[in-house]
Amino acid sequence: MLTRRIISRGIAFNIVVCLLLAGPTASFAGEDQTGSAIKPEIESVSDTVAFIRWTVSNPQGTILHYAVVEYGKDPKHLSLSAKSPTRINVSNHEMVFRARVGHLDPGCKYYYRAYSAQANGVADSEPSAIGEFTTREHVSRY
Amino acid sequence: MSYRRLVSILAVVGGLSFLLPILAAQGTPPPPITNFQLPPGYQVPPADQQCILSGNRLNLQCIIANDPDLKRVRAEEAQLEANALASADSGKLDPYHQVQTLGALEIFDPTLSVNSNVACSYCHDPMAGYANGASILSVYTGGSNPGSVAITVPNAYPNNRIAKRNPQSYAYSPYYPRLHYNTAQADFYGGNFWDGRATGYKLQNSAAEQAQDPPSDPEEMANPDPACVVWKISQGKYVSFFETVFGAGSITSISWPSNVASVCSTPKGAAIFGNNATPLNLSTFDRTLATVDFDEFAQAIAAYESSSSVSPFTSKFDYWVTGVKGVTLTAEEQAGYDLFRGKGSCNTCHLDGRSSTQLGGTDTGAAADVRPLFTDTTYNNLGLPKNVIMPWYSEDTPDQWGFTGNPLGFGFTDEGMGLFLDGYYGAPPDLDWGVYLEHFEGKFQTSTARDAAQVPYPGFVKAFMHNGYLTSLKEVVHFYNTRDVYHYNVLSGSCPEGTVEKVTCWPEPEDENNINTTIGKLGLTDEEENEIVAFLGTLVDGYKP
Repeated sequence: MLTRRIISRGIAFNIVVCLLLAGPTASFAGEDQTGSAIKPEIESVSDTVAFIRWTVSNPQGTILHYAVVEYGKDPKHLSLSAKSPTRINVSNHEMVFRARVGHLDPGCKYYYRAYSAQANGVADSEPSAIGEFTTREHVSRY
Repeated sequence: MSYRRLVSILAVVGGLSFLLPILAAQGTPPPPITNFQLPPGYQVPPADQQCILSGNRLNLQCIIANDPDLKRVRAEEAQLEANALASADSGKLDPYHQVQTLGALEIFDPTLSVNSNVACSYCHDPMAGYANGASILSVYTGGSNPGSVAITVPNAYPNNRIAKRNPQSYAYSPYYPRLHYNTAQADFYGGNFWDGRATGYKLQNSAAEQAQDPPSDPEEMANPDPACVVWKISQGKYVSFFETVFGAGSITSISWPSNVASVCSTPKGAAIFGNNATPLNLSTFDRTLATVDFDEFAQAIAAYESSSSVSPFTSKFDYWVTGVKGVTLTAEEQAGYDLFRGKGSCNTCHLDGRSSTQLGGTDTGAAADVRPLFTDTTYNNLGLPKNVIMPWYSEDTPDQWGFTGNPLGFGFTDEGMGLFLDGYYGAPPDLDWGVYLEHFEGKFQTSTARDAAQVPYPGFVKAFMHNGYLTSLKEVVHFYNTRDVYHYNVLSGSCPEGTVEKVTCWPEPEDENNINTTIGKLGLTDEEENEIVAFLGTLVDGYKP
């Protein structure tokens, strides 16, 4: 774990060149042709962290679930993955999933798709259409 | 392969001696404690003011000697021990109450620590819901308590060994199942301790195995050998009562070595012991007797913790949910309860025995469980910031016994259950659990919400969560509500200008793995936060209908 953390910190110190934009943006990359019931929204985007949320019918299954976001800078290669544990209330009709996507590079455009999965890894449904967001420029760490 | 696993293998292959120069060096130093603010309304007691060092740090030995809360805790402890001793000596107890009373005698007995100065109750104050009972520690150490061993190295900070976490309340802990991996749910349930390492695998009782840990923890009661606890009982006031419960001769027939007093007054971790975890030289037969006695010692503590003295189910909520005539929730409490199982999502983990009404859930109105524990006993990473003020981060140099509590210094990351599964305490008892490590790094046990609101007096500052970062229930609820709204990539103490830490700024999580997103942006108003806090007040035991 420590090794992994050191590596991730090392990556963070690399100079990353991305299109520098005035502020965060978010949209879908194109027409949603997936038929997926998942319509994610960008809850917030900072320079390194994005929160993505969606509401679906309660998928039931295991109490522990994961809000999963596959993402990357190339829409054809969503090679990174963020999995945020969440717990469902079995009596609810609907369920809000929220994924925390961290270790992002400032001022970069990312593409993503989202879905939820049970604790055993089984996906609840097809993933969403591919959307996009742009992180803010680097913010001083004070 | 993890760092710790690599170190373990290297240690087995070549011994640790070649690492000693590294381990003896200082770890990463913590940042200076700047921008430090006392909790609203809190004032350092006059007796403690002489104990505040530069940089908002504590002279722990001064605190131990002077703090009014710690004096109160010791006085309560002495009284409760005297009461238990009187009950034991009365000869009127039935077997059911005998074992519970024995547990009480043990819990309130400071002589069971290496320097005869720290009882279990020192860190688990009954008046504070069996959690830390000293406001000054909640404010300046994250609620972590100094242990039995003073550090006398000149200019050492801290100047007393101190635990790495805020003590978790043990109220209702015997009702938690033993730790087990539920395959259908793909999740861990049960166990005791913030990180679940008191699994209950051997005694089939997690609370009992929890009770065996602090007596031998070098940062806490620091006995060098579990048998020392048994020897100390043999020298104390209730050895005959112990044998009444667990059999004549169970302790007094043990032949102790001539150096027992010397060994048992030397703290665990002393270099003189090397890596020997059982330095008392006992015969095989006596070692077995002492081991059985230590197990029974722990089972008696668990019995006391499950008794009506510690886990009574006598809160206002209990009487209300039972339907006792005349017991009603106030409008604020009822609103808080509606939020607790609705918009706040609290009963997703703090199970209240009823369905949830969040997002259109259906509530039948009936209590499915009339004795809910207000915890599902699972583990979650709430994304709490590192509590930089904890003295543990500075305990990175050898004390006078050659023991270093935290060689990594500020580089230590508390990964909760991840530490346990990854071998920080030795291999977990079920070796199959290692494969789940990735999904449990950073996770800590969901504590019961029962008695969370219990304080010894108005104005008392209570520390919450494993590192005591939050110091009021209002802060707890506000954190759940706004963690992801006011998140900043800063350490505690470095929130940007124009923000207020714990109000409009939440520093970065200590461990970014597996952060739970059930919470973080609940959309509660300030008034709704207060209503949930009011409801939590109905979960304090001792209500008189």
